[in-house]
Amino acid sequence: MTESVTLHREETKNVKWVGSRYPRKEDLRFVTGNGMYASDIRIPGLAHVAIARSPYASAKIKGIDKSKALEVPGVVAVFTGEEIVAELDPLPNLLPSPYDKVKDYGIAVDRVRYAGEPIAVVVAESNYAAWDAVEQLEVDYEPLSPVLTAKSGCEKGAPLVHENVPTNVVWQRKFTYGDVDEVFKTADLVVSKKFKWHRFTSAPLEPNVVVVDYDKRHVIFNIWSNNQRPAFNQAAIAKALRIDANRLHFISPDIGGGFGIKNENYPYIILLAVAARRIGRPVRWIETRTEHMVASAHGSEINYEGEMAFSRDGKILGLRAKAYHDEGAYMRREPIAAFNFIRHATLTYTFRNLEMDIYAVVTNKCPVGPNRSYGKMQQGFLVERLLELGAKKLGIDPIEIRLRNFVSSEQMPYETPTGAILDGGDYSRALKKVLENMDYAALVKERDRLRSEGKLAGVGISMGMDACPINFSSNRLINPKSTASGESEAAWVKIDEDGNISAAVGTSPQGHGHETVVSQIVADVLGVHPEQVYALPGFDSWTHPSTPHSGTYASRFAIAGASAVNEAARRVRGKVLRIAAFALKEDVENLELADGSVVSTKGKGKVPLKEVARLAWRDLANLPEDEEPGLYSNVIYKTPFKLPIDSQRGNFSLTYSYSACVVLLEIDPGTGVSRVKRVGIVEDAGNQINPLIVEGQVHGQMGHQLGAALYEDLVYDEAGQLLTATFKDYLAPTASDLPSYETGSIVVPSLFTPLGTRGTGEGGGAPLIACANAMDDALLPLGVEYDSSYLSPIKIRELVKSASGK
Amino acid sequence: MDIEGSFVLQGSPERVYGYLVDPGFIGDHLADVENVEVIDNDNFNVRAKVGIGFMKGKVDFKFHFDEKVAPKSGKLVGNGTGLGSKVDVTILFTLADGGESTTIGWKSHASLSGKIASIAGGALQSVVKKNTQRFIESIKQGIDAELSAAGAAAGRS
Repeated sequence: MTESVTLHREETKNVKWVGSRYPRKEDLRFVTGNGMYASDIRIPGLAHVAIARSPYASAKIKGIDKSKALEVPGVVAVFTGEEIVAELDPLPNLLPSPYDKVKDYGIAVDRVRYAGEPIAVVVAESNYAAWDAVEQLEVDYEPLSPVLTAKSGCEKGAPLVHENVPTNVVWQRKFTYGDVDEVFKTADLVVSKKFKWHRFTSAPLEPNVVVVDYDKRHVIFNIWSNNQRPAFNQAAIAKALRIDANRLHFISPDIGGGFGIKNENYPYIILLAVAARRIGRPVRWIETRTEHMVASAHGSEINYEGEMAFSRDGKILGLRAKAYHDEGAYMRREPIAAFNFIRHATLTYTFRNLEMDIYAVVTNKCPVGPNRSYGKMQQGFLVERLLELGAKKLGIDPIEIRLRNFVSSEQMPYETPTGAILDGGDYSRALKKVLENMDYAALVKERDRLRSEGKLAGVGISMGMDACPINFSSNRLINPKSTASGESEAAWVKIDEDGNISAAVGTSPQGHGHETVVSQIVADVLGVHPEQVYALPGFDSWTHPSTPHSGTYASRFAIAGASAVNEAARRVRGKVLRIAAFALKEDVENLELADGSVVSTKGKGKVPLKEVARLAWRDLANLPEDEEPGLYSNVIYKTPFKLPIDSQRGNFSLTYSYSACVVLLEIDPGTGVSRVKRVGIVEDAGNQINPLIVEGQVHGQMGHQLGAALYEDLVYDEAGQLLTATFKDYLAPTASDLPSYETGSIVVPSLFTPLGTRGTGEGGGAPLIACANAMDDALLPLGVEYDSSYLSPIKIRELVKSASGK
Repeated sequence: MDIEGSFVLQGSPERVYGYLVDPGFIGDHLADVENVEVIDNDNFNVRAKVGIGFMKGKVDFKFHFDEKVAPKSGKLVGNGTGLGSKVDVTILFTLADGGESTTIGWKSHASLSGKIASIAGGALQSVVKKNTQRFIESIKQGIDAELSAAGAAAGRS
């Protein structure tokens, strides 16, 4: 169902691989069990690390007696938080003063702030001995009252999560655009609703892994990890370890899924680096699934108080909301999720009046961090749910109300009230296409048939938007002292003396297929087959190029990574043509690269690429006089970003991919269990480098979002204990739990990227939000308004029962 | 998690009370005890087996009598560590004189933190309730047997 790909790049006559469903080159390695993951690393003398963790959500540590732990056979060393921190500076955060003083070392010293927080690092000859020693640690705690919700953390007199700052509200800003008060005063209709965005995670198949070998001769930390952006994290890690960043050698081998969470294992890199340096041996830590659930990063948890103003004819006039973000105990990436509303605050719609009052509150729960569609799907949820409620109140069809409010393709590029510049697209066409693909009338008919049989059934539609990548000048709106702006990515392309082509990029793929798409891009530019291009796997900071923004996050590869590779290949191509022109005594303009040779279009012969390479590297006297030897280009691509327009506006992403989703859902009133009977999506990722991979990304986001909508919930008890710490209780769906996906796409090239591509993969939340809208539709006959991004079957059953008893 | 109840024993509060504040006696009747080490009249350590779902292992408790008002009340406080978890227990006994008998009221509070709570959270309530009731039933039977034996011995003499 993918429309033909339209490219608007310079070398269109050579394009044959970009846009094709070229099979993923790396998959043979993965499906034959030959992937190389961080836990596969073997180093002589490797010692094993287990992390002792706090059982309490909030407590003082009055003392740690490690004497018994040290007696366990095979134990090499035990380091308490106090001993580790003696060698560290705190991790930096983004917060303005005084909240920048929140101290975070990745390990507790005298106070624990969430159940699962590291308190000691145990090193032993085996993993078993390490865990046995953890059991022997005697820790004297004085339990304290935990803060477990954002709202309770805001209350006067609430216990302080961090006692060295004045309140638990560590960041608060109200953003106002247009004349919000006036439109709400004069609107024909205002709908108000409190919504809960529930806490969930992405649960990658491979938990976090860190291996550190300290080379004291060269004063180098060799770090193998599945961190998804080691170059990005390098500065913070170096600062914490009090060393120069060029003493950190990062290797990210194959990674079994990241989804944002694997940005956040850098505190463990620091802990293991200290341990490795102290014992003079390499150390390895492999996170258990329960550790991952309890103490890795969680997705956002938000309480919204939202209202939307409408005119009688269904035009959205304004949105006003308070958002209370439960950030967990430490502000590692936050308040970015809270702030990220700004990237596409008005989603696909034209309304100009907006007020968002944001409260970022620390609590005694696992810290929040990046999680697929970080802070973006949440804004989509707020807009789409209020729009849906408005449509119902106004008696306007949910499709019609969206069509009346869309930014049109003629308005592109369109600047939103927050300063985002939408980079092209056709929202109406995407919505109409998904409805057509799914035969919307038949879906509604099926819903009505199910209802006539006494079942609860609903149809929901939603738009989603994925704003990417990150213009780091947005940090200036979080903290005016920030001096960051823009973002960049690095790549190199090389043709060696035998004509072998290699390429590397600073992104650290986590299953994304970068080896394939890099090969496709380079193959097109150099006129060869993708199999002739060797794209370096993973990331190694000594062989791969990088910048402080490098990594795979924020759906940035198709923008920054692809553009860097494309430009590096273009520069090598230029050099190939110049050298060939000299050899053929032909003008560069009369040459083209195809099928591994440079050919004169005027009949002056051809020269194989391999011969050009030989000339470039070996026969230097036959090069043009001012030509540098070799065929190599190292490019740092600067994504074209600007500074903020003012203190609350700016274009903080470059591309805005979008999707339209429709869901038919059925609820069993007896059990409260919901099931998606059909789901369809149409996405516009601009020009698709590889539609097969884009489709896979869409499948991935569907699985994540339907899982979050129907199954996955991180539940804490009243003492701050996470009750869903295994896959027995945290119901990450398997393929058998999910319906078949009916996917499609349209292609409207991005106006702002060299390849016309948009970032994609995170998805923007349309499937989850469509489920919520379908749930609302299903419960409508009972007079129940759905007010959450997820409700457990038990709670749905209670709703059904209480509504039935009315 | 709070549970409470009462039971009646034939005997005076003075005779019953001695058992309720006896570290060795109480330690022996705790559920799934593997080892009891009496430190002094107020303190004792217990190693207990714990098995909830697939989590199985040992928890080491330190118990002490926090309050003793003879023969009216006693408060036992225990803190256990093991399986990456903390188990904090408080049991308050109150005794009411019924002439020939004594009514023992009890209130227990238990909190589990850490890995046990996270992994077996859903099953905890029933396990704690079952073990608390086993403990109460065991001391009831134990004191009853001791009182009966003492009575029988007194009768023989």
